[in-house]
Amino acid sequence: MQTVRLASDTDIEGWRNAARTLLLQEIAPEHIQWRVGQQTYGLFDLPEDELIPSQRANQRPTTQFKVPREFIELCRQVILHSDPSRFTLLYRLLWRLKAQPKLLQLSVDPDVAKAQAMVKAVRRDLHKMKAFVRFREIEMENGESEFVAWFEPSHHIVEASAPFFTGRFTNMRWSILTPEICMHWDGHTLNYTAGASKSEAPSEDAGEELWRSYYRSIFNPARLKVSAMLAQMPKKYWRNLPEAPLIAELIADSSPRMHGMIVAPPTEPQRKIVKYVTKEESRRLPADAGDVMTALRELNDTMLSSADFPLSGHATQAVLGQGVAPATILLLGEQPQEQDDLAGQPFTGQAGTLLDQALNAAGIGRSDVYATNVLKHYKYKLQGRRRIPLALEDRDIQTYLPWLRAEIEVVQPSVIVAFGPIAARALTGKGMESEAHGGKLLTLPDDRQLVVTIHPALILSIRDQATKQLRSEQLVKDLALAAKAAMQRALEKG
Amino acid sequence: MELKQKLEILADAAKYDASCASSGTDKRTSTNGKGIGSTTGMGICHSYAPDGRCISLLKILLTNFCVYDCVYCVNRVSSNVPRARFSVDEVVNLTLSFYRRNYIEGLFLSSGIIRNPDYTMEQVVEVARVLREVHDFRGYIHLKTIPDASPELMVRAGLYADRLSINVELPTIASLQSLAPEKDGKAIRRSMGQLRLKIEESKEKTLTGKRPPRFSPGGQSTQMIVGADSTDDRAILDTSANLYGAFRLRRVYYSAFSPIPDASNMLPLKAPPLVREHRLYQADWLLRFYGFDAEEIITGQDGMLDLDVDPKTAWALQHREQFPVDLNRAPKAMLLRVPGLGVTSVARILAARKVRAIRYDDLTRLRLSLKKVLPFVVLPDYHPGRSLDDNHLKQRLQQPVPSQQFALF
Repeated sequence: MQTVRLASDTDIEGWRNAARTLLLQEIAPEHIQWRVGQQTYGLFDLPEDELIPSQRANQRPTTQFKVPREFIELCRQVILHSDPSRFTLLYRLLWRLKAQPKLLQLSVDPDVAKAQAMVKAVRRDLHKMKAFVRFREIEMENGESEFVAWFEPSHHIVEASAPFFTGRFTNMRWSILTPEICMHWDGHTLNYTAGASKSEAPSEDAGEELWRSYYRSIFNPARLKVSAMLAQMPKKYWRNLPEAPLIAELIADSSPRMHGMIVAPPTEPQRKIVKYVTKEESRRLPADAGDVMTALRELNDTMLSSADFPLSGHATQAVLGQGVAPATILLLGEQPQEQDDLAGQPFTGQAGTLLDQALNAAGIGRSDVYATNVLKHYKYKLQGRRRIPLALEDRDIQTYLPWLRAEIEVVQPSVIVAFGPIAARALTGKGMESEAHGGKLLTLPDDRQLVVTIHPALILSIRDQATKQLRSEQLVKDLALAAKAAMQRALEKG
Repeated sequence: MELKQKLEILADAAKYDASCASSGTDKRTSTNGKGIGSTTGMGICHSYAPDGRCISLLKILLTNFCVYDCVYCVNRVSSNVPRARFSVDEVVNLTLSFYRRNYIEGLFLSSGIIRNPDYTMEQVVEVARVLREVHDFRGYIHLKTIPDASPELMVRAGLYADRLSINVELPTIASLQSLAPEKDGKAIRRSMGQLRLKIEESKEKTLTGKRPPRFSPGGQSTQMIVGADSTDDRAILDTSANLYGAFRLRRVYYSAFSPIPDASNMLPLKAPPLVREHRLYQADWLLRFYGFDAEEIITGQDGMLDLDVDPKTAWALQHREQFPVDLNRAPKAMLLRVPGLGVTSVARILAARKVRAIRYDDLTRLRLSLKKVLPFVVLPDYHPGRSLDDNHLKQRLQQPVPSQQFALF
């Protein structure tokens, strides 16, 4: 029987060195005893067989057996567990990894399951220490404060918790006392001292009273769920929590408190209540603007307040037309894109940027045009957490067409640019392919002119760079054509 | 008024907000700073109240004076509860002194609406500014955003806060209109849309490679009150699914409507529907992590979730023809639909079965509820037999509802 003596309960380096040596010597797990510090010898331990890891650390083996990185990570966590059999368990896993390199994937294996359960227990204890350490404030002679806490962890986690506390309370002077080891931070360096007892920690202070007031007030007596509390805050932690003594009283009073609220008769308001004017109401107040803009605003207000649209339920908002009226050019998309639905404006996001660039290249300012969509709401279906746009149907167009017609009447454009065949169909009633009509100027029954082109959002979705370039150029050409036509119309009118 | 008294009033006024999460933000420490605080990314609950809710943040209202008259709310203008108002410094000092003692992860600040949305929002943002800029506070800050506050104030709130939230309050716009006449459901959704755009913008690198200004790195969340109106679970989950999709919320919180002091007689005053709330949370997880659609989760004719069994078990009981599932062969999506298997156990099964076949004994080491799982799975050395045809299967799977009067002492 070989005995290995580790320097401390968390001596991971000592364990690794010893394990490496033992593995090379092919010593099986059942022939090794692991001991920590100055533990007394067992009956059959032979001191001369002792392996003191630090002395053998330099014996680098020539043939190295590679362990997966996740095993090292597992060791670092498991070694913090309080179970004395953990060293043997880890060595047995190492021993078995030689023959079964994929062992750690087998959570159903008894050894792996046990190690994973230990990791879980250690992580939980570490997490609870971060949560339940409660500092008390001590005023020092120089007038500064020192913060001292008493905590009783279940596993050897104090050193592992240090980065958390130094990172959070960097500019504070503090100590955390535990039965096994104490940790002290002076604002610059961390020191460890031997374990302490609870009596060495400061006793209750006045600052805790406010915390207890908070705890009492944030509790809702109408929803008692004691088992849920106990699952997360087991009673073993209570003795060091200043708020815990309130729990019994809060539970006992909860039922009468809830009953009291239910039976209490409603009261009459004691204070004078002034009617609140919402922003929406103040927005509706008439503003001075030209007649045309007022007509547009009235139209839009009706749109905003109308609930008869089948698509308005799930859309974030109605995306109304944007721009000045009258305008010579009206840009018409099929429906708002997802970004437009969120922003409440047509042609935003990447598609909007692309459109701006194209307008610019065609010599048109965005402020010179009026931009809108056939549908005023985003039509989509949910796929998990994604909103996928749905194609427009004829009845959608029929629903929104009166609004579009009214909008056109107000804006009075001489040229309409339709992005995509469906937008064009809303105006002409016929199916149209943008390819077939690109570069052509069509005339609508009401004598306005129509240019059908590709939707900027569609260009964005093209993967092939050459095609994308080609389509972008087509968009610019079509917009330039619209600009030219609008200019001509303006001249004809004089 | 004494600070303690204000704290009592303004914590009491804030407790109906279910959210207390301190997770999801970027990781930071104070090692290179002058102040205090850190965030870990996963959040820490520093205590639990007997209502089972986590206490992670100092959750208070700046003031419980409010010009709105939302009938479900303890702070509505027509209520006669005692009123109080914190000064900016009081909130700042309270936060710091609780934080130094390791009581909290940070601050969750909300407010009644005083004067108008902009004025209120300005006060809320000022608290966050002083904490961050004057005290270099690096802990967690959650701010409740006032819908329709000006965009500049939103930008400043996002600069200081780790998470922003706006409560939709009730599952449908129609219920909101009747119970909270001054609140505008459309305006709330508009604001949430703006938040999503700003949050996403802050994560994109600009063309010059400069980092855009910080904006609510922990995202946004919302809360719905359940049981104050007659909306059924189907409509609630449908609303949730759309909120997640439209605004990429981190969480939708469900808050069972509970009796409040000085309540309005327009409301159902009875014990809060806690089991229903619990089932809605379970259903919400199925939506977010288990690949379920909102429509298929509701199995009852009445549009409600089954209160006797969890929603996944309820679904499985109605789709018995899809079971038993072979744990060694079924695709991940189907494993996730097996009652009693969580995301972690599914991951473990997938990893293990690449190495060797999983057998009956192995299940005991996965730390799962065998009673729930066994009727629905098949293994090389186990078959559920005819238990799936058993008419009493549901009764056998039913968990006794935990007694509210838990014997603790």
